[in-house]
Amino acid sequence: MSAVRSHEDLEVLIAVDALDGLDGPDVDQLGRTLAEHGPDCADCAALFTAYADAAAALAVALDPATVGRRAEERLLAAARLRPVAPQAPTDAPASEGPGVVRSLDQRRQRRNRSWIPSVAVAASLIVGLVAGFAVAPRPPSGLSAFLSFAAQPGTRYATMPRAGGKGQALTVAYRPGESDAWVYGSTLSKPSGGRTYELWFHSTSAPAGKMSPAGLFVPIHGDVIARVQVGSSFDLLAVSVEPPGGSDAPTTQPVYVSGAIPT
Amino acid sequence: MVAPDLQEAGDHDLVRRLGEGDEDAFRDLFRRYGGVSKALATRIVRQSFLAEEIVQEAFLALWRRPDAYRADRGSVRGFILATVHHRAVDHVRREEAQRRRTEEVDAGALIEPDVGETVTESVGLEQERAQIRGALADLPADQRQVLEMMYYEGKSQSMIAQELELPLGTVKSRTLLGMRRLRTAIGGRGR
Repeated sequence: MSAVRSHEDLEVLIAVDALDGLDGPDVDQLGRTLAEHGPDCADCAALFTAYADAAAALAVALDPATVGRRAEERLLAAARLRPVAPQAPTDAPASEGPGVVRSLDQRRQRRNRSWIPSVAVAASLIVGLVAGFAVAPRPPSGLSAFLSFAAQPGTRYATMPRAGGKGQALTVAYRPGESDAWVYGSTLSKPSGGRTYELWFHSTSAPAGKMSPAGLFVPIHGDVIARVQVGSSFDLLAVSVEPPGGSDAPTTQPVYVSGAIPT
Repeated sequence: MVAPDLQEAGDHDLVRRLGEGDEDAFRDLFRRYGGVSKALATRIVRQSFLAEEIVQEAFLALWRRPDAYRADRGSVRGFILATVHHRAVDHVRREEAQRRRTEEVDAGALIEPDVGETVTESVGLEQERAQIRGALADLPADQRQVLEMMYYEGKSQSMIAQELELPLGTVKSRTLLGMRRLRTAIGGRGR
């Protein structure tokens, strides 16, 4: 195939691709044709950009949808769950936007992968958290439930630094006067021997030292996000490692402990 | 009205600040493009709630990996909208059968009004919108039809060929011609 013919083929594929109109085999063909043509062709890169902008114009032609403050706050709450990833090259997908000559393999993978249920907002980004549902395995929809919870006014956050100061803290999102709460965090080690993490709270009406169980959780890939049940008013939170099924009272030293929580 | 170049420069700066974990920059980007992103996703998936999830995913992807955006590969707006479109199309093709059933119920009823204070969109977008609509209206009907089916309905070229009972080559050529015209009509507006 001549370079000129190849370039003509590419423009058709690039234009259709900008509209996401290629079928799987077409994406492969685009990759092959690009490889034959030369993946660093400046003209092709310009075509990718130009057609991506033309496609974006089709979006701008639509009447903008209403986006409420609630959506904005929910987005920011989700962002706070995970910091910006390091900028150094990693094995994570690099790009899926327009003009991405080198991303065809990634896009094939994206199109072939199974879709995480739609309510799992940010599932591809917070995949560890999605996988880390605990207490009992929960569907990914729990993440959406958590984000909705976190976006509600009056939600407070209590952090529990890891004992010894090493590792990231766990956080409990709660609202005073309500028993529903969520615990989330990253970089947890998985307890060995089927043991589990257990969250405890100290009710403000309980005797000193009397801790009540709030829920069990086990991290997956180091991440956890789990619904727990805390008292309507508490002044201390802690997490310990307990035998399978949990305990009625802590049987080991806490591995995460909050400071005094204002009521 | 903000000139496109200034707007784009501002967008680049916002993305740069995302790399520093700047929440205000993230909020600004969402306010600029959240509305058009949701309109696009809603047009494709036809469900407001689902569209919002897709938009949230797309913006969080940028938050998580701002380095995924490359200035030499197009505009920030184009990048965000392409990400939203990819995800919406991924979903709609996978859920096609279910979506068809749902649409038959009453598509209008599924597009729920959002509540709360409206987030403002990018300044100057309204004027640009009118220009693009004019360009679309000027396209030959057969080219416009193919572009709209592909972009707004998330249909692949083979699906369109089958639905319109056209040779695949005809769909390809109409798409190319339509996109060329659109590209010329909007000039450098997208950058």
